Amino acid sequence: MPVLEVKNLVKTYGDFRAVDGISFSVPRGKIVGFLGPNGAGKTTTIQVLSGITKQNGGTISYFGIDFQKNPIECLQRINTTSAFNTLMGRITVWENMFTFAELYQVPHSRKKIADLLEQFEISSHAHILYKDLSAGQRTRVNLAKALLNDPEILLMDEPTASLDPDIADKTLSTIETLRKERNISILYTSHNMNEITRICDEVIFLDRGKIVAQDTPENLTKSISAATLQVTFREEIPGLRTYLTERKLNHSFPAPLSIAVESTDHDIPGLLFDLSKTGIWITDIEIKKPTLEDVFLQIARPDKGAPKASTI
Amino acid sequence: MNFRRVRAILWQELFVLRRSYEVIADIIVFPFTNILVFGFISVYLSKENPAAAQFVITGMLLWGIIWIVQYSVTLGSLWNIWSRNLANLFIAPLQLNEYILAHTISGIVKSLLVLTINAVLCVYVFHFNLLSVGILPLVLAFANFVLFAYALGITLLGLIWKYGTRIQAVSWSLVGLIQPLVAAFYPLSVLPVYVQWVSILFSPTFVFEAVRTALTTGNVDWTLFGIAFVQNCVYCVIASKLFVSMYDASRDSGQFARNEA
Repeated sequence: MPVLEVKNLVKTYGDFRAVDGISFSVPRGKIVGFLGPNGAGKTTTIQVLSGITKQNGGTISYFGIDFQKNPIECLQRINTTSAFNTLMGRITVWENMFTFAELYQVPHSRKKIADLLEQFEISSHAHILYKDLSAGQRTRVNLAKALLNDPEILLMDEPTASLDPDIADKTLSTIETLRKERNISILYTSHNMNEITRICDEVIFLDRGKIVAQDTPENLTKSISAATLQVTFREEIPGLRTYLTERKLNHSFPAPLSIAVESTDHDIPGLLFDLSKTGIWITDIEIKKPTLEDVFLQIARPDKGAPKASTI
Repeated sequence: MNFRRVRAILWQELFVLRRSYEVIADIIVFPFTNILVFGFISVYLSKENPAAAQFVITGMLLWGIIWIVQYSVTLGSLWNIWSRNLANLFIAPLQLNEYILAHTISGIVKSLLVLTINAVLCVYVFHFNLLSVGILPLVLAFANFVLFAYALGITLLGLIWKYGTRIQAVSWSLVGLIQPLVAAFYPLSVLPVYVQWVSILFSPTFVFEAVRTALTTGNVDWTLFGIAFVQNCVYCVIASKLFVSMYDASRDSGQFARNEA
């Protein structure tokens, strides 16, 4: 049984369908990424799933329990962290943690708080006002708060938004550790494709409230066979341009002594062999494989599509 | 209803209160200075009209109950909205009735504390003992004022949740608009007749009249307290339904999740 199962979820604001009939599930111990541009419906979905926004249709069930009928039972077993919500600024980290420990009726709450603050290396900040923490420290406190009730599923809404790359990297490492150590399920929203590729077992592309693709990051990137071969050479040979034109290959010259040729995964070895036969002295080779961003653009914005090299 | 969750909100209130000098000023310093001002006015009035002097100082002492309970119910939530923490509380398994109960308890405790401090001040500085109203009338008045303040507080809270912080000023201002109408410091008969028709819509009007009766005659006017109680029950039922519908509307429009400073 999945930890979270969503069927035909709909959320409308007037005539605007922010979430338009989406269905998905989150299995135990898996990280499912919600990916999409701003306004795709990611945050709205998280808000509906955490009960602070009402849905207009569809069903949500956690652990097989209907969320609408038994919200308190479900909320006791889940937790949420969001870049858009913070804790109470004018009380200390410990006081915030204690308030939530009491709300979740955590047994031996003081020890639990001490352990979590220790785990996230913020014990020394326990008696500092939350508003006086740096963005990275706040993120760690938010994560510690989100683990107070040992949730079986965490809903994470862009937890690394507004963090600098170093802190964002540490946050992602923490999430990876959490999954490994606690077998926790995570629904993770982001518009950062690299983050999603790194930590998610499954990716759901959302666009204008609808799911436009859903698979593992590997399978999604494999769905685009296009790849770009970029070759740097010592000096230009006249036969090179003739070869490219005759073969009708999409190509461009990103630099005077560098050429980018669009091809497919399978054709790249042959292409490389043929290029070398033109007599150019290759000094560097780079193969650019499609990213999740390319997949998203191809699926959601077919008019923009996967990038194509211009033909000379 | 889970009392540990109620206690959690009370803990949060205490943590916030300890560091919120504005709240301490609002619920302790300003009522204290008001008592001093009205106390000296009553000293002046007592030379000509001792009863009027007592009405003024009693009204000021008891008005604090309505002010503090309503303020506590409404403002407790605003601290969380300003901190962008309100959604976090309701993502936890916190129920609306637990949240409101906690803030009402907090308001009752604060108002009792302030009432006691100010009443003691009146005994020593103005030689006026609030207990001269009588224990039973005071208890009945206190209970009625708490019910009225609760109904007013949750209505204002519902409005803030539904429309956001752009209307947060009602938390401080609305109760002040009601004050002249409920004849807190003077007999109802002082007001023009057409204003009295509005005044009797508010339960505190009857409670203040009953308190003045107790002060002058030593009797408990059960009719006046009874009317106030029935009105308060109606107000509480209407306010609760309004509050829940505004909470639902706020969750439906997405305002509840968006609520922030």
